[in-house]
Amino acid sequence: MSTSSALLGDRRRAALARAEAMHRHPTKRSVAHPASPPPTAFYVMAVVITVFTMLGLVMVLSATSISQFHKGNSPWRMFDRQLLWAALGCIGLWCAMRVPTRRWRRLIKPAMVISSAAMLLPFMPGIGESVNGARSWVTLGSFSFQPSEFLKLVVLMACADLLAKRRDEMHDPARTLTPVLIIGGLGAALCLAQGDLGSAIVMSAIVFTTLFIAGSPLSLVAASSTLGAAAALWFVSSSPRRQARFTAFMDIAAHKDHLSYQTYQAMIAMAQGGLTGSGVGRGDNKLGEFLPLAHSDFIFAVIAEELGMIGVVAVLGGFMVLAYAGIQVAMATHDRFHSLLAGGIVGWLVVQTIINVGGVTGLMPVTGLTLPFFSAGGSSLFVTLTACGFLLNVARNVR
Amino acid sequence: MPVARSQRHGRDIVAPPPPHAHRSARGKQPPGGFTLTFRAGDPRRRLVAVFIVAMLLFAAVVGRVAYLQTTGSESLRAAGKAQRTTESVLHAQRGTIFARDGGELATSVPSTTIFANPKLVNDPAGEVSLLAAMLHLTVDRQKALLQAFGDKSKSFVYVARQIDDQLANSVLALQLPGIDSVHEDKRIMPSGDVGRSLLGRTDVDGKGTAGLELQYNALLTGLDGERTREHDKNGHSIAGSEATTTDAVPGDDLVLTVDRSLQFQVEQALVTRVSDLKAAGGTVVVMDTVTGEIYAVANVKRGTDDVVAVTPANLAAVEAFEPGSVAKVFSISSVIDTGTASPDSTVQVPYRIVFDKGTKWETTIQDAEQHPTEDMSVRDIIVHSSNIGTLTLAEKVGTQRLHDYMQAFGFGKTTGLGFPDESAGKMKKAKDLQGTEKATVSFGYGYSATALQLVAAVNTVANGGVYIAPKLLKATIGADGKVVETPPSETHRVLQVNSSKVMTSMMQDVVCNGTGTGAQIPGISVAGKTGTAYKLQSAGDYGAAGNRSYRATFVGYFPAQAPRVTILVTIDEPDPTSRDRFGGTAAAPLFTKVAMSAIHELQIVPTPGDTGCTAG
Repeated sequence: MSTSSALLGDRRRAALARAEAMHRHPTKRSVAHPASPPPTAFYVMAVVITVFTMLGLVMVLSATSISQFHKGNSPWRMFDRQLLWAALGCIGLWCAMRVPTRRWRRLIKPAMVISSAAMLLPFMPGIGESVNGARSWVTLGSFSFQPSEFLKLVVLMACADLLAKRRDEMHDPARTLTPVLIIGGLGAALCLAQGDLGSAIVMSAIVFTTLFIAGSPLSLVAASSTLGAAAALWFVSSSPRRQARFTAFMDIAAHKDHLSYQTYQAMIAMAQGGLTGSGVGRGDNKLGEFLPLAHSDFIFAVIAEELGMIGVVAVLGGFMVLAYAGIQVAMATHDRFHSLLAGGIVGWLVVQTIINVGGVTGLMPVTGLTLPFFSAGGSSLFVTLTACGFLLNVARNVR
Repeated sequence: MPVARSQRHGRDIVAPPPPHAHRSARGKQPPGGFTLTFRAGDPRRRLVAVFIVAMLLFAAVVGRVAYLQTTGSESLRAAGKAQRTTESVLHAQRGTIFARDGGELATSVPSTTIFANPKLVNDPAGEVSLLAAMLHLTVDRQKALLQAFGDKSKSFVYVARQIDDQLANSVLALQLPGIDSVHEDKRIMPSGDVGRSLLGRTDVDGKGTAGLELQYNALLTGLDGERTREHDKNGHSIAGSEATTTDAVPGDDLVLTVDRSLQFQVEQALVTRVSDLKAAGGTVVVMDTVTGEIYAVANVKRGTDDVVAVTPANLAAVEAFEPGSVAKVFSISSVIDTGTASPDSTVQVPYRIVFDKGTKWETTIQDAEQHPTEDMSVRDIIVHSSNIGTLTLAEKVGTQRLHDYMQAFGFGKTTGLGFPDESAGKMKKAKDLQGTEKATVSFGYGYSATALQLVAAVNTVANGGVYIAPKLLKATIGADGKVVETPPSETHRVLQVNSSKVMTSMMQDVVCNGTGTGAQIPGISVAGKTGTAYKLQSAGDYGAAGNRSYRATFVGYFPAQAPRVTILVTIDEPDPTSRDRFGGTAAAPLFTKVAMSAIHELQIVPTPGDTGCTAG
């Protein structure tokens, strides 16, 4: 064993030496155009992203056609919108994947300013919209989006950029931890100002994951994340309504008629799905319109009802595969920024998925987060796809 | 600034430096004077940690979903099914009750009932006030509805039952959420009140509560069907869901032995007669002599408002009374049938007999009209309705034998009609008869019988000595339209054929020459017997002269040689001051009237050679 580990160490050192040599004498202008074909992880991720996006479209159609029809709209209405956003998302993905990241890094500061400013749009009369107690939506005509989705990506890139530049100063909280926490804290505060706790949590999760991966001292990360959690708890307890919603998940059956109605209906839908599900389009609880927000926050329940446990395992398994491939890429890449970006995106997707599914299944309080790739909601899908574009960009430039 | 000592991770200090360790440097020295040292972690290890944590979280979520979809699914599935499924009952149509001629006596007609599904009512207060305005609901009813609408565990609440279709349509036109209608049958009597006391009634749910409606409720009810429907939150049927329907099986129809037209005429005649006599009530039964089928049963009573009307109660079956002199038919029958005496045998008959003279049980029994002690033939005894003569003859038959005859005539037990609350009358066992009871039984006191028992008993004589149980149900018609005739009534022989012929000839004399002359029908010979009973007073005795109340009865049958019908007429408490308080004067004329109707309706013709009482 000792010989093999020594061997591994040797290899690693040799690789580092080669990398340093490359750095001193670059033979090529850009790392964004690798000579060698992309690694397997690239294709794995591409397949998962493609399948998820398409399955997401199908599920959105299934979840919305009946309710739209009953409203007198075209059954395709929501699907059409989601399809449009998926198309835009593909463009975003393509750009994120093909444009070298160093170019993107130059845009981080202005992007940070713009997206932070955009966070104030929902408060503007006329275009701002309050949904479920959170002022997080901007509506321009028939076009609506959540600025917080964009901010998540920008904050992630800003943190990764800063931590990559200061890779040798990770031990110094003043140089790395503090500025990153300030960026993240700003983002989270903006989200909380909108009343959107879910996005604030995801924002914090992105920041802490990036800090953690970057190697920030564990004790400081732990301490600051504890402080963040305390802040979140304070936020929850500051409003009786949020408090009630938060605690309702502890006894779902008792609150099934009001506070945990959604979760209870989601649980019914999942239970009805059983092993094989009712088949796409045939979910009784969805057809009965018993499940509110079936197409957005609670689409996982529709997946579970219509595709059954097989579908659930496939979807969550897909996320796991994506996470695995993302971590692989983050570990394999020699670019510090790429590594942090990939790790942060993986952390983001994982945290958002877990919080969403945890809320739908009654494991956690419902926070109003979308399920990446699946929930109807254009900006979420667009930003998710763009983030995946970066993931793919990292993956194809590993070597 | 929150800081933690790196000693917590002693491993970081003693472990060999990670690849990037050589880049790490000591932290800045804060002005406080003590040194804080931090070490950067290895990003590769951190990535692996992130991955492991992610996998654990995913595993937890997958475990939770797997639990919900397998072992934990039972109650949730049930809850899901419950909230989208509504079961509605398809009411089976209640069978129709027909008269023997096919006329409908009681039938169910469709009407509309408004109901609510509280699960779908989203504005209870608003809907209740709208419904109240349209349906004129009482305040109490509104409160009850408001409460019912608030109870979301139920999916069916009546709002208004069996209302006018037009009103129902205008309520439905409002399209209130959760308000819907069902067709529900309403029980009506298309022939008016004809046969009301026989038919009984149903409650609002169409369940029989009295009379034949109660007796044959199971037959009439049928089998309710059920419709299960899956609907969404707003009540729309879920597309493609299966609605399962179990069709209702309509109840059987009943065909009664009653002749609607005769029933109507009898009722009207009885009402008129009871009014004229200022009587308290009366009953008429018309029975087919051979088959026991009841053609008509009329019961009328003077109400508290002093109006005489058909009663809802079938007194003919449920009310027992002391028959009085009509009972002489049975004691004289036993005398003839046992050969104790022949019609022309004579016995010495005093006007009165005193029993238990000198004791505190001293009782005097006397005939209705004073006469010297004389020799009377059996025929004279029945024609003139002599109490003393009858008891003298019955004594010869013996208490036990007379009792056996009485039982055979059907007294002391119900007729087998099975009519709800039918009375069996009261008859003591022979050995329990005490003192004068042994004597009075022979002329109709000391036991009681219903009109139906009495008519069936007299009918035994008419039917050649064979008792035939009365019958009200002629046939049933199944849901498939198949007519099933009811089995013939049970019969048993009571008298020898010859005895019955002898009795008939004597009872013809009653009508032609005796107490029953009021019952004569021109051209058809009638056999019958009158009875004028003192009614038992509330004090337990029969009252003194001038303070008595009466029950006037006539039972007869015709044509005497081959009887077709036996008719009982009994008038309860005719005006005691009137001359028309006796069986022969109060009841017999009504017998004639009813007999005339029966002759028309049943097309009864005299037997060849029959000329009635005018025989030369």
